[in-house]
Amino acid sequence: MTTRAIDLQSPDVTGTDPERTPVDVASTRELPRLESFTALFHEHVDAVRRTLVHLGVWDRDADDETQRVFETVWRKLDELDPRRGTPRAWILGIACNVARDWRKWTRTQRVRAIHLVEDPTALDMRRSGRDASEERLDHQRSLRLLAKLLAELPEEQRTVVVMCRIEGLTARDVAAVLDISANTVSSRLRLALEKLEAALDRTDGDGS
Amino acid sequence: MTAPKTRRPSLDELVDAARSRPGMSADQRSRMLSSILVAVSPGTPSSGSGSGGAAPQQAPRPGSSLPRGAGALGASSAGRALIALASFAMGGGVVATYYGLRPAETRIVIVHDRAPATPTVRARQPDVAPPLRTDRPERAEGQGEGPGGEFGTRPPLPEWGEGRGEARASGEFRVSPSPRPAGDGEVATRPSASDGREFAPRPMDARPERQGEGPMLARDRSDDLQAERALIERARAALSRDRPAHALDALTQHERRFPRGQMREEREALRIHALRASGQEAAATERARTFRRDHPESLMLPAITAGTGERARRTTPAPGQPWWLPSETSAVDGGNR
Repeated sequence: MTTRAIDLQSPDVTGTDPERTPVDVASTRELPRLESFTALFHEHVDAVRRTLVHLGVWDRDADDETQRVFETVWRKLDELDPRRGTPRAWILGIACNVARDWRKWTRTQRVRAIHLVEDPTALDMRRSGRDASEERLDHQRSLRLLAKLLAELPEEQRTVVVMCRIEGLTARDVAAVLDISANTVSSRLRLALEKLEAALDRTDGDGS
Repeated sequence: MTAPKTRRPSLDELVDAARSRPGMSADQRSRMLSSILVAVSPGTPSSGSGSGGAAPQQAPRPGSSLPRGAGALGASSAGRALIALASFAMGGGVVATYYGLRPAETRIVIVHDRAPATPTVRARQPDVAPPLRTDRPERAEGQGEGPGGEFGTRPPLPEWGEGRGEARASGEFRVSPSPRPAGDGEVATRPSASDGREFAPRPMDARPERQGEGPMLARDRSDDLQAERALIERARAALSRDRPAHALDALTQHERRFPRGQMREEREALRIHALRASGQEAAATERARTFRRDHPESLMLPAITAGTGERARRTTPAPGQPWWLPSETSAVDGGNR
C-alpha cells in the first residue's frame, strides 16, 4: 500500500523553514469525513470548475467559486445521499447554486465594467499562448463558440445543457438536484439543444 | 482580426472540447484543498449552528447560499491558524499534514491505514519514528489570548480525535491506533460545536527550551511581521474579491495573534471596510469612530469616514488603485451620496 504526503506550503506562509518538524500525530474522528471529502474533491474538482465556467463564471473567478462549492460540500457532506443520485450530480447541483449567486453578484457590481473588457476565454487563450498550435487554436475557438452559445440560452436551459449534455448526468439525477421533474429536464434539454443547433447554423464557425 | 471562414462545427465537437478543458494541476489542487480545509477547519462553525458569542455576525454576499463563517477561524476558536491538507491515497491510507500559519509550525502528519491495526507514521524526516516527540522549534512568546504578547500567541493546536485529554496533559500527541468510529465506512458526522472549540492553550512547560533567547526573538520579530503581513494581505485580497467574511476571518486571526501588532492600523481600517461590505453598518460606524480616535492622522481615515453612514456597499477597488486611499470609489461618491 502506498501512502503519499504532499508537502504543501500555504500561500499565506512566506518563506520556508528547514527546521520544519512533524510534531503532532493524532488519529482523528474526523478522518473518515476528511477521506470522503478529499476523495470527492479530487474526483470532481475539474468537473466543478468546468461547470462553473460553462455556467458563466469568469475564468478569473472560477477558482474562488470552485472553492466555495467545496466548502459547501464539506458543510453538507452529511446530506449526501447516494440513493438520491450520484455524488457528482449532487456536487454539480451545488455548483449551479454557486454559479447563480455569482451571476447575481456580478450583476450588482461595479465590476460590470470589467466584463466589457474581459473575454471569458481570454485567460485560456493567454495561458495557451506558447503552444498555440492549430489544434490548440481549434480547441480554444470551440470553447469560445460554446461559451457564446451557452450565454444566449436562458438560465434554466443552460443549466440543463451543461449538466446533461456536457457533464453527462442523467435526466433523473439532474431532476433530483434541481428539484424539478425529469420530464421538465428532458423538455428543457430538447428545447435548448434545438436552439443550440439553430445558433450553430447561424455562426460562421468562429464564434465571432 | 478576421478569422478564416471555417466549416460549421457540430455540437458534439463543442461538447468534446468542453469536456477536454484542461484540469487543474496537482499543485493547484493541493493548494485549493488546503485553503478549503482551512476555511472549514474545526474552528469554523458548521452551517446553521451559530458560533455564538464573539464571532461577528457575517453577511455573505446577498443571496448567497453559503453560510460563511466570518471570524470563524479566529473568533470562535483558538485553532484558527490551522492549515490542513489531506491527501488521499487510493490504497486506503490517508496522510494529512497540518501546518500552522507561521513558518516553523508544521503540525501534524497523520497516516491512517485501514488495514493494519497500527497506523503507519511517515514523517518527512525519515528518522522520526512514532510516537513522535514534541520537539518543534519553539518561540519564546506569551501565552494566552490576552493583550500582552506583541509577538502574538501561538495558536494552540487543535486536537483532533480521541485521547486529547492525555495529549494535552503531557504536551505531546501520540499516534493512537484508535479504532475507527462506529460508523466506519460512512461519512462521519460533524463533531459538535463544542468539539471544535476544545482547543486548550498549550502548557508553558511543553516548550521551555526557547525561553529568553535573544537572537531567536529577533528572528521572531521579522517572522511576526511577515505573518502579520500575510494575514493582512489575505484580508485585503479577500475583500477585493468580495469575500468580506474571509477578510474578517483573517483580521480576527490577526487580532488574536498580534493584538498590538505593527499593522493594527491596517487591520482596523480593513475591518471597517469588511464590516461595511458584509452589511454590518452599525458595527462599521462604531469601529470607524474608534479608529478616528486612535489614528487621527491615518491616511486611511478619509476612505473610512467617507463611508460612514452610507448604505452597505461593496468595496471593490478600482483596478490598480489601493482601495484605502480616498478615491472616487470611496471618498468622492460616498460623500456625494
